[in-house]
Amino acid sequence: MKLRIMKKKGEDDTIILTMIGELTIYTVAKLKTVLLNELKAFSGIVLNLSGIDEADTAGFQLLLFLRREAQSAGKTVVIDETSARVKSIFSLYNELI
Amino acid sequence: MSLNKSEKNFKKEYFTENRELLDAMEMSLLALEKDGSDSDSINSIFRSVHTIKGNSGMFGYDKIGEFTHLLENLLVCVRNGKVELSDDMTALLLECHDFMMNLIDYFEDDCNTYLDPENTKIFETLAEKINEYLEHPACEAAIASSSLSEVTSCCDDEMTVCNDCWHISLRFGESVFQNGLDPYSFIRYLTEKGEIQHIRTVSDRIPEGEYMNPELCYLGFEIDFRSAVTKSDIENIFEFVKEDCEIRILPPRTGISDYVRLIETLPEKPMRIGEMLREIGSLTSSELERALQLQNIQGKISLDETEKDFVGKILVDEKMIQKPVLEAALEKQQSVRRREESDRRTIRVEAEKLDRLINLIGELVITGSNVKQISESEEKTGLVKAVNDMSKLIEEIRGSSMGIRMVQIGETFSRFERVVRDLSRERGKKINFVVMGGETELDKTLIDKLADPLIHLIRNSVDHGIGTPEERVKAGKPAVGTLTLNAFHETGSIVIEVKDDGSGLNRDKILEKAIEQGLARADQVYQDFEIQQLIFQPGFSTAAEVTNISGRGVGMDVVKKNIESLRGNVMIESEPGEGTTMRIHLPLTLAIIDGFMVRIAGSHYVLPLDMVTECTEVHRDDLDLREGGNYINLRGDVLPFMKMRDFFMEKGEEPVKHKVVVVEHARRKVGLIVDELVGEFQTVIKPLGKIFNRLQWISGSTILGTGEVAYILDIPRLIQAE
Repeated sequence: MKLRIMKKKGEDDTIILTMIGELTIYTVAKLKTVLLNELKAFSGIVLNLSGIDEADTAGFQLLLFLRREAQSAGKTVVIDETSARVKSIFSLYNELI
Repeated sequence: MSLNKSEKNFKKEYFTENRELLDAMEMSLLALEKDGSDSDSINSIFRSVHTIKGNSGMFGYDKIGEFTHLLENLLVCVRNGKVELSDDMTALLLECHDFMMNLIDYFEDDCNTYLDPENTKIFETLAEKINEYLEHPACEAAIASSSLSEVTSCCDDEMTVCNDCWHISLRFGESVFQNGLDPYSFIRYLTEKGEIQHIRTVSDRIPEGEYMNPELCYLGFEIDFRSAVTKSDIENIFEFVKEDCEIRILPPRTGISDYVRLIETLPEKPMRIGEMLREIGSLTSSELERALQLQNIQGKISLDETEKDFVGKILVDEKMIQKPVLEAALEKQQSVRRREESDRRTIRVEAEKLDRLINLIGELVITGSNVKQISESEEKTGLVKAVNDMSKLIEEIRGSSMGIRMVQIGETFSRFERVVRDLSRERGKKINFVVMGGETELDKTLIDKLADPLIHLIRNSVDHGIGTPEERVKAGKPAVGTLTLNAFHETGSIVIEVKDDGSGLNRDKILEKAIEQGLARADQVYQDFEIQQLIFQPGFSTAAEVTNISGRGVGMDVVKKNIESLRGNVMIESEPGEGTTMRIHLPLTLAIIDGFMVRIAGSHYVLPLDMVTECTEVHRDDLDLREGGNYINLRGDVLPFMKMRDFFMEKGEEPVKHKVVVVEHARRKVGLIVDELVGEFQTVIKPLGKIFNRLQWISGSTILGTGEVAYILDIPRLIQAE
């Protein structure tokens, strides 16, 4: 398994998703389903990406997508912690984490 | 100049930010000095200077603006390799850095924006030095081509844009990911060929909800790219992906019509693209306006009504109403700051507020302990339980509030890098400065008070410890000396070491000097340990000549005093020919400690719990019958002990069995013989008044629930006394 997701209920009807592994083209398809389901079920998602040691633009795109989906549904997506790898992608693309 | 409150705040931020930028610049300069080919460093210096220039311009500090402008030009030449990055150059850059730091201080103290004669003189001297480099023909060409100068931003030609960067517009095909390519690597590669001034991710094409296939790429990028490369160089970068990506490249200062064409051909709506181009700085507002007008005239694109409104709004915002430039620029500054802060996720709090909180918590801890002791004597189980729960909470509050004050020492350490650099240059020494344990946390107050003693120790090591390259080579050592600054935790204290691999303390020289200065007697035999202590004597100096840094005999005694005032101590470990280690032991926190209470005859004493390693028992006879010294056998180790009763001259009947509390400090263990162990006790140290200054073994007092006073034993002193 290339990506493990741990779920924990957070405050104010949020779900905390801690991901460990890779956020890449190999994992985005499964992850998208998970994320959309969670977004439906809760009013906010908190992502802990500190365990993501491999990430690519497909992963980056998925996070942008998730953020936009959340925005249009009036929900929130917060990236709580990130890894250096995720940070380097966001900073190259000049997007806020 | 009268300022309203918010403007004052902005100014304050301006100064804070510029100081941070200058700090960053200094770090990069030092890194650059070590590795001249480090392009990250030079870029980061460039960014710092550029931002300072922008900030200064909008606050009307023209002198700083003027200076940074010059400096920027110089940096362009350095970056392009037109000027060699020699030692002289880094020295000049550091000098410029210091001058800017001075200017910032000067302008913050003084409310005007003019320079006094003294600074004007420095300004002129530095400007002259910079201009000497800049007058070199190669440099002039470099500056002209990069044309960072703001003057050129007003183009005469209506039909060309001012922007001097390449504009790269990328729209990746959907199958990019599936072909095993990652846009990240291409854009990353761009940064190696030049500088991405701005980049904007275009994510409009990502479909909604279930229509989005995460394995397809929907992204595009608009990039403002500053580089001296040619168009085909840029095309080559994207060679691999060219089947899968629409690439449009516009050269610097191209015609507005090229941008019109770009706007037309991109899949997004013209206004949206226009906005992005403006945002990343490829087009200015007026150029965008002209481009959109052009489109309208040519009738190639018709804006729908809402878009027209939008244009109108931009124009009103940007031109007609003329929002003050200051405000707009401030907004930009704020957004940068917000981003930085969200990265760090920290807030700035006034130290004073924190101190007040800590003080209150200190009082709470005392009161809590009192309540606990009273409740225990009341023998009401309900009350005792409730009070216990409360105590636990108080303890947690105490712990986390002390945690707030904890700061990593690394930042302070890295500040010394400059000290070592400057000093070793001056002394003609080569020194490699190594920092370890920078993540070790200690109390902010401690860190502030430590800086001066540390600088002194470092200066001593550079001045006296590490020899010149010739001397070192002669002694069979590498020519480059190593100075290590190390921090770590050890049994309830924090240890900071300043370690050099120099020649070590010269025993004979120290003794000779000490005798000369009347600090030691010629007819007495001194132990190594005592010799080392001599250098902490007031007035002691071994330096043959007095330099402006050390050798004046003021220093080591002050260092020792400063550290002792923080309840710490300094130790020296020195091996002739191998080097010297100055080791500072400090308590973890200042005000509140976890104590361990013991009873000796009728009085209570508190030991810092961190220093207690274990407790054991010993029979009275075992102590009394012992001959030849105060040692007991602790699991086969020799443990020196002190009979606290004798020590404090307490009389009265001794218990049959003595308790031994084993305490450790600075790697030495001692057993303290006491009458009774009372238990753990959280306590706030109340300093003793001045009249008790001469009480050597007591570091403070605390008040028990019963109103009785308990003394806090100064374990480090006790161990030394032993």
